Amino acid sequence: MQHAGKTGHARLEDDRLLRGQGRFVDDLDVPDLLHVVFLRSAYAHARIGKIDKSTAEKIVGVHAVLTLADLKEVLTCERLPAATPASAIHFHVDPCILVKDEACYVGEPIAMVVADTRAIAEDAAALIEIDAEILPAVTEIRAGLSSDSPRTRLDQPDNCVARWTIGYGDCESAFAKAAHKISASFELHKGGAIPMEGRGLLARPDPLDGVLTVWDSTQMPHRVKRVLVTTLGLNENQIRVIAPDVGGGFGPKGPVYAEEVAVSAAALLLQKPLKWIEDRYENFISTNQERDQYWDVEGAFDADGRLLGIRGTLLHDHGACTPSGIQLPQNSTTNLIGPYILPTYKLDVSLCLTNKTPTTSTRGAGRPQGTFVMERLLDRMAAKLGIGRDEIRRRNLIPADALPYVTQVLTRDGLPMTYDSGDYPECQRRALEAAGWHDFLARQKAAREKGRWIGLGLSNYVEGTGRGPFETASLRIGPSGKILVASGAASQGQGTSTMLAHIAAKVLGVRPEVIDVTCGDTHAIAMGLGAYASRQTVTAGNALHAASLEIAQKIKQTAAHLLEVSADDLELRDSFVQVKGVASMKKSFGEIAKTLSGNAGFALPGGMKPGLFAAVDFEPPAITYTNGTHLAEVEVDIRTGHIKITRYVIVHDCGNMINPQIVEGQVLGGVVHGISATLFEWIRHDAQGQPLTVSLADYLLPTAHDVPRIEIHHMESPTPLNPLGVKGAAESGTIGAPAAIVSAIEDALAPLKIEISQLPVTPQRLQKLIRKAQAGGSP
Amino acid sequence: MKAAGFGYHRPETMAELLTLLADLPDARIIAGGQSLMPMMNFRVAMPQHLVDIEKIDGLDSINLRDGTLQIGAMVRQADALASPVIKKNCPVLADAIAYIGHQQTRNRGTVGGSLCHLDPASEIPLVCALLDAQLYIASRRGTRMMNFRDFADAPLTTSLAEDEILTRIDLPICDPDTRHGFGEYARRSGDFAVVAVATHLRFAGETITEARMAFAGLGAIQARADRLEMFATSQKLSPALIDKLAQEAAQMPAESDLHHDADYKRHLAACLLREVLERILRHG
Amino acid sequence: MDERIITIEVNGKQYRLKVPVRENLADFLRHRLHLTGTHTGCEHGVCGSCTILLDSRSVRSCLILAVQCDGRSVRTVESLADAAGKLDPLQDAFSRHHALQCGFCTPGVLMTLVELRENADPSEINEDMIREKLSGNLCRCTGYQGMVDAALETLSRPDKRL
Ligand SMILES: Cc1cc2nc3c(=O)[nH]c(=O)nc-3n(C[C@@H](O)[C@H](O)[C@H](O)COP(=O)(O)OP(=O)(O)OC[C@H]3O[C@@H](n4cnc5c(N)ncnc54)[C@H](O)[C@@H]3O)c2cc1C
Ligand code: FES
Ligand code: FES
Repeated sequence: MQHAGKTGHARLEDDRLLRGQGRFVDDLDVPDLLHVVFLRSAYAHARIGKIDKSTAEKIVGVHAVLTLADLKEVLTCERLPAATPASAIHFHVDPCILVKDEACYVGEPIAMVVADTRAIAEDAAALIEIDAEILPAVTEIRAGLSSDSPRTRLDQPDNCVARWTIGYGDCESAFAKAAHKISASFELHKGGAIPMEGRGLLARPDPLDGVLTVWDSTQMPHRVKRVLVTTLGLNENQIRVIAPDVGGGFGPKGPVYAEEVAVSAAALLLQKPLKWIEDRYENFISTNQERDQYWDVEGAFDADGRLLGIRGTLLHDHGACTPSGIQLPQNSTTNLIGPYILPTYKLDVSLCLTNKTPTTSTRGAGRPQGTFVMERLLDRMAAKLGIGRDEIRRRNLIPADALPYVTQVLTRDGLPMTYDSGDYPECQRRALEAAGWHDFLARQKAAREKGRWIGLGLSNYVEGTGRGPFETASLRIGPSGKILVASGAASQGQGTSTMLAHIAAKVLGVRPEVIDVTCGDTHAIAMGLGAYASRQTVTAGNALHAASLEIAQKIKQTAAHLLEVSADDLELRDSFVQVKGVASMKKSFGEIAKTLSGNAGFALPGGMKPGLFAAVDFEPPAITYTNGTHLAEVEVDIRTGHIKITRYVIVHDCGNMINPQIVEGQVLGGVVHGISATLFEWIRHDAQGQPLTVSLADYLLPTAHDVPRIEIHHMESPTPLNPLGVKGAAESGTIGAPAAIVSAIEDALAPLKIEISQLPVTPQRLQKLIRKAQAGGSP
Repeated sequence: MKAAGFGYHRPETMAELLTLLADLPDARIIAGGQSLMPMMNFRVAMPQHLVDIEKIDGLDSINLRDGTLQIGAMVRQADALASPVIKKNCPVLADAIAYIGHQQTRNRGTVGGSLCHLDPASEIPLVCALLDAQLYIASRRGTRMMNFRDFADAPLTTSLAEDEILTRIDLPICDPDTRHGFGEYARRSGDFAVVAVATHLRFAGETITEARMAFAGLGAIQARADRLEMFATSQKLSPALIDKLAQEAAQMPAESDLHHDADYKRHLAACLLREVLERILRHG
Repeated sequence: MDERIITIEVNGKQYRLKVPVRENLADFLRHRLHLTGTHTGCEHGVCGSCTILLDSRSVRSCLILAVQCDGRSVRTVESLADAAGKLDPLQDAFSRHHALQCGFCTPGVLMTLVELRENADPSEINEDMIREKLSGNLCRCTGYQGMVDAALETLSRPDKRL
């Protein structure tokens, strides 16, 4: 595979972003723009009675104060049709577009103020008076699942929103015949996405053409459009959704939120352009997040440390609604298997509704937790057997010649989860070598003699990428000769436009800079899905690849007629099609396009079909699996419990790489997200469900000074599942990190025999474990 | 997250300022704004009037006079950090300021603002507690001087009246017989301390003739640890003494907060004190 | 609403404008002058995406009021490219080192590094120092490595001011 990037092509997105000329939603301005502020529930659970807006309405500069009752005029339904289907779900919980009579988490939007400025709208929002009767809140999942728990929502029978068992094989007999068994419990927390730009949108109704245009900081503009079409009762021509520059997404900008509908509805109602920009406080309380999972698991192994089975239970905090069905905990359960041979498996999963912000996937999407559990079991069993942590993995990894490897679980699309390509043992081998695994013992010994506690940890994982059902891309060349690409893909910083331009450029023999790429605009292309599950290079990339091939072929065929040569003798170069080696015999793409756009009454040459336009829906036949091995080296300050990651090495295999620099960027960002989830991020609530970590001073993200330099090595095992042989890379950095770091911490503290079973590993938590161990196990 | 409305005043003279403070209802001084503005943006603070003291002459100088280091309340933390006068005469303050926030916050944040905000984990109040800083306070009623101990009432609460302004901080300058130490543990660089410790020891030969040790972050306001100081006075600084002091530090009263509990904070206090004292012992 | 007329120099241009006193500098730059390169990621002083230079010192523009900048001079990311539109060497290095992804934090990071470039001796520049100086700028996309490399390359060159 010939690589772009590192060969002098800057990302197409960079220039304007570096100049401060990005166009993020809050950068957009239109005449007569008004600003929206949401009044949100201050209680985790409350019955909402009368809403008195009279004082707020009197504030100078306020145009309207709206509740659900006011929006009804332009809405077709009260509830947000958000649910992702899942048979395990007992009852779907779609929130009301604004609270009707019951608020179920702190932050749930109740009313909206429309005013000249955001500041005035905030002034007025503070003056809305609400009769609220506080109800008992469900804030802890074990208690929430017990039969005497109060209910998260009064209209639901209980809090167990979904329960299912994933598994296969005869787990009971596997345990019965096991030579070794271990059991473990884990409390795994993962935090929010916290992109630097929050959510937000600008909705502008245009009386001239009757189109409502919505600029939205979303990962999935086409999905937003679909929900708006449904909730506002408009047809597809009447709504255009554009995702302009988006300042990071990482998952939670995928689902559609009540605010997107409410602002659009209010814009229609008032016939005014409206803007709502989520501030950081709102981002912490109202944007979907991940939170707690409690795992109780047992592993059965044979005498040599080969896995025979894993069984147990998983309890998952689902928050107050089900915006993404069960995908997050489902990913946790399937990713546990990872690159290993797991003969039997049985996990009972229960999802508890809680009076907290709804959960959906944040980068990694539940997979880091599953991987963490598997990797911890392997480390613990290795310790028990007295074999190396690398060795126990070697004994359990799926050998290269077993790929494609069909596991015994099904993915969301109903197909058996099948690992398509890769060489897992070789990946681990290279990573161990790159990180100096075999010399490490000596280094560790020397360090310990000097009173320094250093450790090296590893983890292996897979990541299902390129989820379907499809993505669309089109390529058009008009008489101007300009190459116009459009895709349903959407970018939040992944360099999607650059990736697409590179793919088309290579096929058409032009420089990527001359290609004009439009992503994330529902008017540019009728269908599309957008960014989720590390999928866009796979789906949109292959769609565009096919469209580009089609156009390249058509250019050659048309030129063959015009130049009276065989199409095989033609080549594409710098926006011209020319006879190979005869630069004088050529036609520009523009001329070809002009020819194919026809002249009134004349036939097109050679019976060609009109126009240089191709649109392709690429439907990936199955999920393609990226894999990797992470090695983290840490130093623990046993007095403070402070953990410093001193080195980080990855061997990563995402098939062919279109642009290695962009792939590395994705992996780097992912790893730092994983480091952050392991050591820093922690969403806290009090017993009443009040969120306590609502500023960036209390909710910690790592700074440049808290993360190490990260070394990335690549393997390229092309997937047979798509013509480009590519796989996704956006989340894999996050998946391997918690397991590798915790393995390293335990290794550093091996003389103290510390076992870590909670994430995040804060210095306080670790220091307490250290002191307990030093005191001989007694607290 | 926009501040609520307020009246804005930018007096140019001290007299004008004191009049405004005396006459305006619910007026709040703004210095560097690095603590006040976040609180206003969150609408945790909603003063009716803001009085900006940036234009007042003479509040931003650093002087040495009569054996004391005089620091104007409006001296920016970044300027204090870069000041050779402070580094030479009160190195513990320079060491402490290096731990405050980031370049961007130190460029605006002031020495006086930090004292008046009085976050219990702040570094500048810690040094002021350690060295018994004398604070100069002005109002239309006159000027007064008080010890930091009397100034600091409780976390985030000073004994300043509504019409008063802190104008100057006086610190004793260090002399060749004193050794100081500063240690801090924070989660990330730039964060408020979880716990910080500052020490100031005066020696006659090897014997400690005056011992000062103060802590920040334990929950209550920054204060000297009288009991520890008593143990150290008239002793030789030795590993045994350090052990004893660390053990005592581990017994100090502390309060839990959202992120760290009392037990961990006490433990850190002991570790940090040990580290600081061992450094002094090693380097003499 | 309390308003004030202020005179302010932004990127070498003089402005005289009426502003509500409660408007912070970030909002003033973004919404009154339409210089939207300066971003606000938290509005409480932690993320650094609003970093600009006020009289050549880096500050959080979300924590300073526009009225407080009366009579002062501000530089934002929009000032970095030269008059002919050529990118500053630091911007250029950012692109080559893939130091930006979504680009939201980037303007603030650039301004922090511009201050460092104007004050630090190239021979003092090292990775640890750059990471420390960048600790006031959060980035959720890049893992920081690209920006550290871009800064190392650009700031440690003796001819960095060219
Ligand atoms: C990201 C970030 C990190 C930080 N990290 C730290 C840290 O690690 N350690 C630390 O100590 N601080 C830290 N701070 C806070 C510090 O930067 C502030 O500078 C300091 O707390 C307040 O100083 P100021 O000049 O900004 O005061 P302001 O915010 O202007 O004022 C603070 C309070 O003091 C009052 N006040 C100010 N000056 C006077 C005066 N002269 N007389 C009477 N009253 C006055 C004000 O009315 C207000 O109530 C951090 C801030 C941020 C944003
Ligand atoms: S917006 Fe100013 S620091 Fe975050
Ligand atoms: S590039 Fe997206 S936040 Fe830094």
